Amino acid sequence: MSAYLDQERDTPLHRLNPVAKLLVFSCFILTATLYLDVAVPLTFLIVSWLLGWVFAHISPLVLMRRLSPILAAAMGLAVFNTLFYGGPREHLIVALGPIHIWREGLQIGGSIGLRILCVASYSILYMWTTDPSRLVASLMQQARMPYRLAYAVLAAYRFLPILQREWGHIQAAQQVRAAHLSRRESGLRRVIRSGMPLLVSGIRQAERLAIAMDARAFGALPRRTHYIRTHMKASDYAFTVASLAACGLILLALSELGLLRSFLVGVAESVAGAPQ
Amino acid sequence: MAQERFDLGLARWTTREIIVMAVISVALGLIFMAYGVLYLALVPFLGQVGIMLLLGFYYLTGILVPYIVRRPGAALVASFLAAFTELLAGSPFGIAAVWAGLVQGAGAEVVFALRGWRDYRLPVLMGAAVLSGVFAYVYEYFLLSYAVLEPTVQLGLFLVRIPSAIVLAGWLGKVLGDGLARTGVLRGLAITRSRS
Repeated sequence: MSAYLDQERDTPLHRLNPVAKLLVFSCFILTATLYLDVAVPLTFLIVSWLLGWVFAHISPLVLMRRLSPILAAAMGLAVFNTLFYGGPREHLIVALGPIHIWREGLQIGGSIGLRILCVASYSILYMWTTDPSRLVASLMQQARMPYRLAYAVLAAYRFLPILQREWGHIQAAQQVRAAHLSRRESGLRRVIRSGMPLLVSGIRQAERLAIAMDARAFGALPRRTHYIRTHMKASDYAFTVASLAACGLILLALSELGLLRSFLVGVAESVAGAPQ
Repeated sequence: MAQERFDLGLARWTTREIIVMAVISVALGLIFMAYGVLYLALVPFLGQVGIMLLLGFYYLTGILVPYIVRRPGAALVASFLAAFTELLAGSPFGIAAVWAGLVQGAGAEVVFALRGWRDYRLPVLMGAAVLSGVFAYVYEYFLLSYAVLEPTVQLGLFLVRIPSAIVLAGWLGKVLGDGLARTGVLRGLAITRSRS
């Protein structure tokens, strides 16, 4: 599975505390979301490639290639936001019958398209550099997630490959019986037809697993010990603080260059500009 | 009995309820990933507003799991777990999906809470699905800056998802839940106890 290609490597980004990394990445995504110009999401997109390159030895080209399937979705959103832009407008670029393209709309469309690429880039970089078991351990130990929920997550994670294989079996079994050839079947029925057996077999296995866990006194005590221990080391704090500071510096630099247009200003303008 | 500082009420769940919730959420998370490919492929044909007709399916976890285990917190936790599965399985929208899952689950949870976590009849399930959609809209309003769109388009993005939520989450949740109960795998869980 290509999704897990690089999880096992040992680089600074792999060693980073998973919760700290989630916090920093979420913060970058949030910042890219708060601005309506092209510069901010583009900068943070490039930052994600640099982060992967410098701290995880992942070539930007590999990350870009993984992003290519999202490109169509991002471009679709960009076109949609350009065509249906409803904020203040001054510079008309194209007027073709009912279609009007404004420079302001094009800019915001581009910004939102890049924003989606930004979300995707950080999500992919996150999963490429994070071991799921460490992520859950860290959610328990640093983010104070209740351990019953965390073990449910871990158990569920163990189920992922099992359910994936099961899904293949169900599809194959139904194909053998030519269930997919039935013409008078709505899309909804099709979802139910293959979804139900997956859920039923999953629930059967869940019952067995629950008995095994109960037999080992799962959940009998309010506290528990951990096999995988995660910590917030000095380097984790340093990375978090440095990243957030870099985030602020990037915004400062962009605003000095006159490239910033904040989301809230955009909302205020579009509300004020709506009656026109 | 000593309590965890923050346990979301999970201490009162049986182990079986927890694991069944987890498995259903993971299975739905996988189905959501397959569905997402189809969803993105259909955007050019239905348009960004029209595709909202398919969006309601993503609220299903927050309806089906509470309908089966009938515990406070089930909608929120299950919805989070399904989204977390997408992150673990390498979905390109993983981090945004996790936050969306929490927001959608919170929407459904509010409706179940208003009925005291006792009433799981079809109208309540549909109401929970609709509020999931409303909460998700607020989240997307910020993530995708709906504010800059024309007001009629904003309204369309909001309204079109409502019938979708009612059918693909509310109604489908009940159908799947009842179907699973009929197979017998849910024996002993709240959904089978209620229908004496």
